[in-house]
Amino acid sequence: MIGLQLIATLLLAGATPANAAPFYVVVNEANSISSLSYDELSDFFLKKSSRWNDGGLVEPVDQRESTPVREIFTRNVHRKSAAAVRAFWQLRIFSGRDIPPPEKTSDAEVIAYVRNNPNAIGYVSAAVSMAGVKVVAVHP
Amino acid sequence: MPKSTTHWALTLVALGSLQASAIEIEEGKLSLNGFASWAYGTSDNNDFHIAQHSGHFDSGEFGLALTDRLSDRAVVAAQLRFAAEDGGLFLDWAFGEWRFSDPIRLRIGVIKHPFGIFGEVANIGTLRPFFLFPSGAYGLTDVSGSGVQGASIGGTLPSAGGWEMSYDLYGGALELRVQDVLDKVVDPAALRPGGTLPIETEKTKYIVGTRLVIATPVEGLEARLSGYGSPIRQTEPERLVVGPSLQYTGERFSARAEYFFAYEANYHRAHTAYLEAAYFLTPHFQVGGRAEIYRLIFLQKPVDSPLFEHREIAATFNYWFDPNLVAKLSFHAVDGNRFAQPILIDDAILNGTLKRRTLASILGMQFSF
Repeated sequence: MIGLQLIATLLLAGATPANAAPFYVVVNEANSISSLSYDELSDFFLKKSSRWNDGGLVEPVDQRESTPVREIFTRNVHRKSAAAVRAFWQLRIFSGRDIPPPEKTSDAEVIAYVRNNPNAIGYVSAAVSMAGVKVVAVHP
Repeated sequence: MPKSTTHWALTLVALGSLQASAIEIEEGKLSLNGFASWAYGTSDNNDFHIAQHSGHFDSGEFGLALTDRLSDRAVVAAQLRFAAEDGGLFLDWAFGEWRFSDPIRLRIGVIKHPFGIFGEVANIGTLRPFFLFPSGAYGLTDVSGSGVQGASIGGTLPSAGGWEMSYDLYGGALELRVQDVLDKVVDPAALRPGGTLPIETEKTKYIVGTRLVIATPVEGLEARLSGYGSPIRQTEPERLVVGPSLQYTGERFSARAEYFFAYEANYHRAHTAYLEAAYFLTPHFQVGGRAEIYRLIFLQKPVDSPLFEHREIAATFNYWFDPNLVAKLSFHAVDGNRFAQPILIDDAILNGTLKRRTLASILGMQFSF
């Protein structure tokens, strides 16, 4: 079992580019997207860009702010501090412009959300069971 | 301590102990957020907002914002605010939005006024370093409105090279909460013993306005240009308000500067500007300073009065228990009576006892979730 997980991890690691991000970006298996830039990712998660190429609504799912992967994702992708992103959402919420993505408490919950939502996109810290989801290559 | 004050204090303490996060229902399709504030204020002389000469405990307010995504393109949202002292319950905004695309979103209903940095979020204390917002731009003047009843189109344009632009175009009737000091100066015959300066709600119909927000490649630095006027159909004197804003928000340091010019044909014009900066000495302890100036000019004849002026230097010392819960202690040195007056202002003018200078201090708590 441990061997299978190790193989899966290595395969996933091989699927990402050489300058791979310290997290895995996952979309639903049915999504045709194969790679995204950090800017595109940031726009999706801050809801500045809300449509996939096929016109479907992008449904980002975040990790809890207390998780290490959220911090890494925020620093790398948004290039902002957690406080800046928090202020961004407060401004959006209380001006009635938008609400932040739903938050999940674990990688497994993110995977389950993405698996059940064809238009979802999330990120996880480790190569947990990826059944029903697809890892997307990301680049700065 | 009055019962209402005890109630507010207990509510703040209880809510402050909770995890500060929005309530999400249906995987984020429905969201409930809230905010509140309470403060004690005192002054050595005139009343300056909630800092009153006799000491003031009853400044609490609480609001709830509800947003529901009905479909991929349809969103409805509303915000209710309760402020006992200001007159009870307010509908800050309630609108339906149709999202044609990211750059084009149509809203119809009551929308918050897209104006300057704080026009839409003047009640959200966790978004600024001072307990009070700048008086000239967001106080009881005819500069920033409390809400627009009508429609707006807005959105974010695709970013390029680190630059990003978003915009709002709106039209309808603008509601303003004002204290009109002009009559106290230009119509002395109207002064009467015991007379006060009431807060009035005015509505300017058929206004058209815009706000452009440009985010620069320098992380945290953005510029804004806001303005509105009544160019289409004047049921009241022609009005124009316009001004730029500049804001930098870094991890520890933040700074803002805004200037606005307001004009009402054959009546008055006003200039207001402020500069504020704040710095986190530790992850929890923040200090800040602000300088503000406001000047009102009556257009029908040259008149000078301290009621037309406001100059203020202020400092704040904040402790952030959490990014959504903050205690603030601020001190304000005010020169001029545009926003600092005695309750019985007519008596002070008639007796020649109006004092220009006021020192005010405010200790309060603000939170949001």
